[in-house]
Amino acid sequence: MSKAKDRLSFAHRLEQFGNAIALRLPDGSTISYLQLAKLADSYSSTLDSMVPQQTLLALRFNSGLSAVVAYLAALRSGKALLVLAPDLSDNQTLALVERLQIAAVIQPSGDIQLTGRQHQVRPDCALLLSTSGSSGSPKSVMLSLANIEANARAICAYLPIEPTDTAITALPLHYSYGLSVLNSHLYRGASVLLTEAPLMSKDFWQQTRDFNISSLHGVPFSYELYRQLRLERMPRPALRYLTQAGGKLNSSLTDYVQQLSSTLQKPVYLMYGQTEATARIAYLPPKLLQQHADCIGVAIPEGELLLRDPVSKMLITEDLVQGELCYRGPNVMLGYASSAADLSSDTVLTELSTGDLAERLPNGLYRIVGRLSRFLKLQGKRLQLDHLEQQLAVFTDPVCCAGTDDLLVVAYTAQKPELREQLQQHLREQLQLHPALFKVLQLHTLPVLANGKADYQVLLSLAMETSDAD
Amino acid sequence: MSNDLIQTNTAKLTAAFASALVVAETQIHDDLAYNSIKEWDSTAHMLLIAELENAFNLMLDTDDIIDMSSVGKAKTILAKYGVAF
Repeated sequence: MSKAKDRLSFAHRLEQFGNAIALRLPDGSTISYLQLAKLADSYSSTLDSMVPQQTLLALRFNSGLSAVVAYLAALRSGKALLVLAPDLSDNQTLALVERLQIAAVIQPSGDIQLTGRQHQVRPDCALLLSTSGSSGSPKSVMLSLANIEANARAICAYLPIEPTDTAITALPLHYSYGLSVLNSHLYRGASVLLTEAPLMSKDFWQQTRDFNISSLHGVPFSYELYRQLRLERMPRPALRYLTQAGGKLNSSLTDYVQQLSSTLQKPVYLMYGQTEATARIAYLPPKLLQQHADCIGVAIPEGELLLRDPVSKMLITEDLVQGELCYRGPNVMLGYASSAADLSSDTVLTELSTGDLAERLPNGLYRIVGRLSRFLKLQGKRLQLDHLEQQLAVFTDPVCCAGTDDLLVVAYTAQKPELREQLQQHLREQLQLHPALFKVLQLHTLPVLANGKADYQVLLSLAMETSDAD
Repeated sequence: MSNDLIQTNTAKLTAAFASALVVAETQIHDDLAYNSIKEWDSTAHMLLIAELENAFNLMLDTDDIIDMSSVGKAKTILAKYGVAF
């Protein structure tokens, strides 16, 4: 392999770690870096023989060996890959196939299904990730190899990942945060245990012990589970540190994480990021956890945080002045793709507007104070509220969505008895939300502001006052 | 242990499962297992533990929380805490 190619990404450099173990499986078997490189290249040859060059592939990405091999094969051989939740419904998959003209769908087993579609993808697009986790959103983030490589490099520079470490797939690999754990460990020559065991299972916790898992990674919901399981009482001597991302912790979970860190005497890294920045944007150095858990901290290595006036877009240089949080760095995506035409665009984004309102403290730490765009992060899943309103308008119009990162509120006015059930069913089945995470309200009128626009704050307080009707 | 108490405990258990999993009480039987239906996922499991701890006024050990892999198993575990079925 040529030197130039070696520089492309960690996926191209697997061989450099030789016989070190890259992947471990729950049955105790291991795959070395050399073996993994061979498996990936052999799978690339299969793909080459079946799929036209420069077309888009999709992978149902579970946490199994075949899926990881397919992912690395695509990266190594320069095939653009859209990663999907393994349980995405056939209907949603078909809709994406049509919309993005996907040439083949790779099953978790590695089986390849040709679709008969094809569309030329820009050569620098290596990976497409959904912004909303498992909902099959039509909007995907286009990432280059350089993006993926840069984010893995930055993560290895601020997290204490050692070549002797073993991480565990506690988060789905089709989710940018979960994927970043795999990427950064492969970048460093460390190992990852590929498990499908859910976080709330005996198998998972037995594996964290038996495989000497060195780090745990979680969204706020994972930390709710850790709290209920009383993680602080579980002896895990190999565990060296924890990370949290995927949304802001509420105050009681913040308390728990601080206690957890001091009880275990282990650092917890609070992190901030977006799929649009491959995964990670900022982190709070763990020594600041007890004092500054309300901050997202500082930019990751090679990145830069800045604040802009939401209206004029002028740079804000003063401390303690609120503005839209923007980010520059080598991990900022190429752009969005919601149609096949977008796949052949030549846009290059240099600065990412996060949609979050933030301020910089005099000590240099950034703190999120609100949100400009209307989205929620429920259990790490991003819900764009305007998009959701459009979806729900099929059932009833007008309909209004608001909420917090703990609760989605849907309000409507039509007096049809079956509507409530229909909306609840849609939220449960299409968006895979547990009923404890949302409230559906029937109101006489939807609250509006003086300018006629929906008053989301009033709607939210109405929902907080209303006890569950069922 | 009176039959009445056992019936009450069974009813409480069924109600806790139905509420956490958001399924009909008729769907709750001893063989129903964690992750065997889409309704019983991690979120539901967490809510289930909270419901059970409230309904029976007890605090489950970590090992018991992650060992509660079916409705039948839940009964066996709760029995250790003095709840009769």
